[in-house]
Amino acid sequence: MKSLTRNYKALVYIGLYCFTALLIASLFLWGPNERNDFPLLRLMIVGFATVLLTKYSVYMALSPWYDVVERYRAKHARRGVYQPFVSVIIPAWNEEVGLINTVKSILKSAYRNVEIVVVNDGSTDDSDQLFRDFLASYEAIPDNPNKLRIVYRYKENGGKGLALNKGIELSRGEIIVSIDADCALLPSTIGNFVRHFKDPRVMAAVGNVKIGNTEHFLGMLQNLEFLFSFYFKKTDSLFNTIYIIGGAAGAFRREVFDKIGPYSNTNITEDIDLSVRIQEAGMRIAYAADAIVYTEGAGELGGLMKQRLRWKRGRFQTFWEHRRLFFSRLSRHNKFLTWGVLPLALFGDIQLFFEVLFLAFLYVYSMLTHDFSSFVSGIIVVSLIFAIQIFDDPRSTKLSLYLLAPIGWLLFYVTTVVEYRALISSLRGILSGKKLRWQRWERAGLRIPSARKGSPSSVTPL
Amino acid sequence: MLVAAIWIATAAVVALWGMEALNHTSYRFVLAFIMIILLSNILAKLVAAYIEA
Repeated sequence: MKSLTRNYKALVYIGLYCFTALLIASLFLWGPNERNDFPLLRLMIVGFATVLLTKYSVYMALSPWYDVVERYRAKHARRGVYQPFVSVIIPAWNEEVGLINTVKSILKSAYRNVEIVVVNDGSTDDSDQLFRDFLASYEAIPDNPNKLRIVYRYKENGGKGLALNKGIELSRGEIIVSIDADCALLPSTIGNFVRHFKDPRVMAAVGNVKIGNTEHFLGMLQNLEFLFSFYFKKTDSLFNTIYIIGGAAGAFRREVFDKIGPYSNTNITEDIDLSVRIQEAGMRIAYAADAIVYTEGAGELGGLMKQRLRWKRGRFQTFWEHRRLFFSRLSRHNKFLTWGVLPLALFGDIQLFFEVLFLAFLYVYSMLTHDFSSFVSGIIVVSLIFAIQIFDDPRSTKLSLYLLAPIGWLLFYVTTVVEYRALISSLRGILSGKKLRWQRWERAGLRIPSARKGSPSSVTPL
Repeated sequence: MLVAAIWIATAAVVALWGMEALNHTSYRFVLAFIMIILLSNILAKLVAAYIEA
């Protein structure tokens, strides 16, 4: 079965490579028509692509300077030991497959001034009993000086926001790290999060999320997609324009919650809502590229669609609730965010709405005029972006990702379709007023890729 | 080896395409994009190495 899947995957990749090669060859072998009768069509294609290209130019040109700034800050940081007490909060709902492995990965953390707070939000699976058994066996280990405090609470189902708030209430840490119950941390993750808080201006930090289950086609695709989007957080971090701290990897000073209040229980993406409120309060959010968190990507298309629907719908809800941030002139608001990143994010959704039309135009135009230079330009630009991102990534399955880079433009059609469907469903849901709650899909458990040559630290398989 | 071969082939295509793009006014923008991000990356790496040293 495993070899069948592998062969199927190889066939898909070979097919995509052949199609890419065919398009590139068309540019040289099948010259464009002398007469171009579709100047308007061409103008629309170039106009649409120019917006994307400008955005990526800015992000790709500035992102490498994040490493420069980080190194400069590290060199000139205040001397002295900074080891605040950290609480890792894990909200869980029916997470019997991954919860214990998530906790085990934290227990292996190199940073030891940590407690773990697990809030079971009225799960109906066996996670409650399994975790109580695990906790009893952990507490029973005698004379372990490295033992971490684990707090466990089972509560009535009330939603992820309330579960997180209960976790914060039970915790004692100066820094609060929130992760999902299907994640795994590297031994260096918490320490790397903490390092960013040495700067007193940093009030929150977002970690570098990677997909742990990359053996499936969808997992690999999501891995590539996460690499793509998290790379751009480097530029956002430079300009303090990060407005999404995902639930899978976020760290906050406790005073953030004292100042702006707890997680929302009415917003379906409580993590985006909190991040936007932090920005609204004029606080600084940093990107911790070296705080790596592995998460389980959706293993099936249905699950991926559910996830993206929640993200899309929640983002719209957050934008609407915080609409005063758009083009805000208030001095505490970051103008790069309010006049640039947020309107561009919304514009991105408008572009997505017309993307199917754009792609249809592009294919029709290229076929009619025999002019494939737009395609080849797109392929080269996307491949180059991927190559740079993979090269810069601290911990990637590099070989397989490099192999995917030249066909990445085709793989992204899958995510475009998923995102497009999520967009349409979100708009329908908003118009009909239908509510969304905790979303989940079938979990298979997470296997962290084994340690590779040159890795910053070894990863123990769970 | 395979990865190196793929990237050498890609580089060859980029070079060929670059020559073709120079005849196309609108695609010079794409060429400029490639040059900007490559130069920015190289410069950033050099500055980072200087800071480390």
